[in-house]
Amino acid sequence: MVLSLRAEGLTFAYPGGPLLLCDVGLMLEPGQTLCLLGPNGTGKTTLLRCLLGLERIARGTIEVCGHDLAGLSTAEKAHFMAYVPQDTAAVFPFLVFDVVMMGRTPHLRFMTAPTAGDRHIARQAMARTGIAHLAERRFHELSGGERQLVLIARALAQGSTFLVMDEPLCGLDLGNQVRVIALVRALARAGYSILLTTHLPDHAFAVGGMAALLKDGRLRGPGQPKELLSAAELGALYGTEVDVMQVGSGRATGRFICVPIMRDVD
Amino acid sequence: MSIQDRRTLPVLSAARLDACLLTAGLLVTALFLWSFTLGPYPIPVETVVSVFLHRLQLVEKTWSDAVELVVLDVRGPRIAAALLVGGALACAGATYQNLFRNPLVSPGVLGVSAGSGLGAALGIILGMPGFGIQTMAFLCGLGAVGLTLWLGRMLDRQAMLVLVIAGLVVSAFFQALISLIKVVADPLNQLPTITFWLLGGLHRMSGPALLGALLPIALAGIVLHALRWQVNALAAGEDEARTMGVDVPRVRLLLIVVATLMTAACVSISGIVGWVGLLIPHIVRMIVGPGFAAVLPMSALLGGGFLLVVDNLARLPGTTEIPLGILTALIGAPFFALVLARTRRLWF
Repeated sequence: MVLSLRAEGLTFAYPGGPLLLCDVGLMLEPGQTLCLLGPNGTGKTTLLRCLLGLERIARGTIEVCGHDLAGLSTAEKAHFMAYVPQDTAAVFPFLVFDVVMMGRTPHLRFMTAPTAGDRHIARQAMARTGIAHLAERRFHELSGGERQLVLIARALAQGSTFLVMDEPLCGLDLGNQVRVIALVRALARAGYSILLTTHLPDHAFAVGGMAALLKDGRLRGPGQPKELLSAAELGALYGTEVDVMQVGSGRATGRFICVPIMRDVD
Repeated sequence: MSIQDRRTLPVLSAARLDACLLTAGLLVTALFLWSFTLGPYPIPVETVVSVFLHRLQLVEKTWSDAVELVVLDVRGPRIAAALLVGGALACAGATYQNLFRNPLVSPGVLGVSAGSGLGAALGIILGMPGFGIQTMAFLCGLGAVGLTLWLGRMLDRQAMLVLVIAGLVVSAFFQALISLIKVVADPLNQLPTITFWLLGGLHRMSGPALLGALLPIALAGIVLHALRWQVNALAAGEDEARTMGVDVPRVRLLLIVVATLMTAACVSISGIVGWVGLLIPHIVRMIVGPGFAAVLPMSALLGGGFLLVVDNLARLPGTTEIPLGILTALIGAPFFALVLARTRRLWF
């Protein structure tokens, strides 16, 4: 039994638009994290959408756990993969518990309602992301960090082993970034495969899995961050000079960080 | 903090939802029985209950045939129709609001009301009998929504907003055709009939007309009930719903079909009764929260109860009926403003 998510020769363009993804290949195995980096508008989100089966790809194959993605029904895809959006598009004032319970939707058959078992799974997912105490709060009233944890809990309640996260760290304060990174690392240790996008190379080092760079529709990697994320690569990726260095003193000694040089800035 | 407390929605355990539904059910039942006592021919509520028990062969008959005729044949269909139409319009409205993720859409958003209005107006000037007019209204309502779907598909296969705009276009076009028919209609007989039909009312109600509407509404209700958790997930938007296993294009089309069936069946027997489908789901969400599995049955109960109260008001003066659509607008519009004032912050 193959338990990986695999894309080969993935090519995609919106109807009448330019080629957004060209011959992209990647593989994600159980317990692996893959951090996707790339400048704005380069198609990171589009790549996630293709992998989730939300877009019809022009060429190439995507396989999840040995099944061709194109041959799976919407419900079957949801059993394999869960999506963690940056924020939910829900319009009505849902309670946190209602939002997490939505993750059980693919497990409901025609005519049936969620059981006590489903509610138990939802509560477990909330405990796992540390938001059990927010169950009866309204989702829209939470802070950005709390909302991200709720959406991760919803994905966990779905019971899928592949988690696809669209910029889960975007807009969070430093403390919440660290909490979400810690959660991602813990989930990977527990056997989840996680694909996430981010704008900050530091996150790729901190998350501790693989990294890949997306630019002009082409993917570099996946590879180990220490090898792939060189100053030259990142500088070319973002179009500005950067240094990648290891922290030399203090309690974070040994950690890798990426610092823009900002030579032309007063 | 106190402001936040007041705004916190109720926690909806399964037990609490059951309690809410039971309370609403009992209230609507009481309202149902009481409504039979209203009217120019007074009948005490005990007699009303006894008439029903007699039909079940539980008690002996101690009242005149006239009483039985008034309860079962005169007031019965009308009261049942108020419950049915109110409940169905509220359910259709709640469905469309989830589907379009827009709290401000009503069951007529895709043009079904305008289409049914045109069908009825055509039926009237062609001199059709009541059942023919009902059938015309039903079919033209479905036709109008079909046209909206086709137009939406021509403009953009995906976007839901385009569908709303297409509904607007089709509605406007059909409204113009209705006006055209009114201009050419016989001003003594046909024009007043058309005008009153368009303003809505349940005074024409008969047993067969009611049964004709019950079938599509019941069918649609069962489908909505079966899909309630999918509809719930649709509130989170297309992408999220799809990654949560909802086959969005198929569910969406199915929902449009059943909500349209429901609305067209309502409009075909009641004329155009606005505001129920827009207002009731909002009140329901304030009571049971936004989860669609709770909103659907509660909308059916409260929508039915609301329209029954309003229809009782409409027939109270006795000699001159106030058209139902006028009353629902007079009560619904200010009430809706009140509801919006309380919940505005949550949407915009």
